[in-house]
Amino acid sequence: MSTVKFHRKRVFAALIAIFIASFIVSCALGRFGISPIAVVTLFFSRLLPLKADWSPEAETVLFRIRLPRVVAAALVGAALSAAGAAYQGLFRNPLVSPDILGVSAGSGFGAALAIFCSLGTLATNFSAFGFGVATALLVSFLARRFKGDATLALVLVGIIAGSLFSSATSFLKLVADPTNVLPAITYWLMGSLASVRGSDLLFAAPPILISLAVLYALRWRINTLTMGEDEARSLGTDVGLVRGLIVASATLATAASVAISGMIGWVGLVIPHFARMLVGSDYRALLPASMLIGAAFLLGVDDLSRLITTSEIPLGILTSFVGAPFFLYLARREGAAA
Amino acid sequence: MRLEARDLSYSYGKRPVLERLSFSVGDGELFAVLGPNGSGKSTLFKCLLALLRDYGGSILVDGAEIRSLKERELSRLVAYIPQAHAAIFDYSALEVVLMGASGSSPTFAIPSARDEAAALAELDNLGVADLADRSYARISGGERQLVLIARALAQRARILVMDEPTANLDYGNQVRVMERVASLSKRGLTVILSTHNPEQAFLWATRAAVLLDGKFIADGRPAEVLSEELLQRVYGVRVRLFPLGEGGKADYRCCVPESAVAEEEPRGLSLVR
Repeated sequence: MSTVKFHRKRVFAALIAIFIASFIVSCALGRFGISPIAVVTLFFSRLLPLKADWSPEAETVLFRIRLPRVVAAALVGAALSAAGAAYQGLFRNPLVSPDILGVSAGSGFGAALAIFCSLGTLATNFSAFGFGVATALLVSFLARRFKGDATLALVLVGIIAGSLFSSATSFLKLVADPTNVLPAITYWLMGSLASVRGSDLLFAAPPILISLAVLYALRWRINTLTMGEDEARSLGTDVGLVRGLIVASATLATAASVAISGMIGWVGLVIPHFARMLVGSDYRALLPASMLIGAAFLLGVDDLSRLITTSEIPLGILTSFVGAPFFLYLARREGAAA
Repeated sequence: MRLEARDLSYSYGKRPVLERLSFSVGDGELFAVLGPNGSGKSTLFKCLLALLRDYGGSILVDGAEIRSLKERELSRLVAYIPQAHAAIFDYSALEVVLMGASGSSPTFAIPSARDEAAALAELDNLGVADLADRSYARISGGERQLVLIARALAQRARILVMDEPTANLDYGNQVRVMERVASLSKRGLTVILSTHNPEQAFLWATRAAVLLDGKFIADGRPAEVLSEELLQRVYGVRVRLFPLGEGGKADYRCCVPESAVAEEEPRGLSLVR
């Protein structure tokens, strides 16, 4: 076995351990403290007939409130990181993030519109998800009308669509009632998992899990795309099919994430870089590593968001505070190595 | 395996780039295509790889029209070896070679241990097994070109299409790469490559063609078709060709600009012309 592979196995063992640990610790932390051992016991109590030596409050808090939020953090972190990693390969650019096709901006507008019209939580979810997916469809459709480089056309139209929806959202904020509707929109756009319940999870988990499965299955194929379209095709890759699957999966994952968590920047850009530093560029290792690190990272940031102050700090703000300096550090490191 | 073009034409809009080219190359041939910049070489190669599919006429591999083949089917017949380039992301050399197994795997597959062993064996055959775990971004241009050749061989295609394989390589690597390529064609593979250096055609090609304004103006054994007059017409500079004389390869010609032999004929070379 080559040294590269041996190194990767050890890294993955560590990543899986870190992910499981942050999952359990995140379930334990909060205003109502539950010890990590109690968390594990409670999990097993659902599978095994254990004697109940825990308080009923702990059980309610864990399964009704904390677990949906923790699972959502893990799913959203994994989804944004995997989508970002896949897009960086598809667009052959390490500075690309999942919102490159305007999906986040579209979802953000969808949510703002639903809040503006005073629709309920579920309608906001659906509106955000629907507008995100519709944006990607529209972008793909318009990009087809461009001649020449299909990938470049996608990016161009995506940037246009993104900035259009951002402006539309700004307009909604301008005309929204500043006493209650405007703060709701603003708070939602800054990203938060505070209000995630089991129903939100039922809504977002299927599209995210399906997308992650498709991207995971394509992980080796993405390598050929990073060599450029001509080479990928001569290597035997059906570029049209694979590009379509990546865009569809990344769109579903991003739109579903934004629909339950709001706008969370930086994760999809920074995590794939970090993963690349640890396991290399081969997507067979990079994609699962990105998912694990992304999940653990967002779990940690979400813990901070509920623990630092008595009122919650929006996630989008924290990921920027953590992500920006970290990215600067990575860029300096990579610059020094080159 | 035979690659055949019949009345191959291509135009970008109304501007014709290739005009009714016909040729056929088979096992063991090393076919060098020469031509000035903009003569249509790149377009020709893109057609041969079915990267451009709206060409006129037909391109056949063992009788099958290539534009009706799926990417995966074609990749098992024809392999593309691009100029040594830097990858955007940093792969190990083995990971790059392993991509050659893409064509024989389903879209959702990952390579098997056998694919991996085969990739290593291809590196070993080219004498660069020690590169396997090295970073593709940090090896030399010549080593990268060998890795890309190993990748094409891992594709198990019998026809290799190379776009200026020695561009940007230092002199030693040019020779090393071309010697490997020539030995592949001796093993029975079909090689089509483009080159800007007539001496490479003399030295290694079994056949040379000259593309000018979308047409072949010559096609045959290099020593027979590449004349001083022809090269002057193609490249617009006056050149002289000298055989090596006794002990040299009979078909080899040194190609030098006329300014290098302005007054006296060089003494080192025998002057049978």
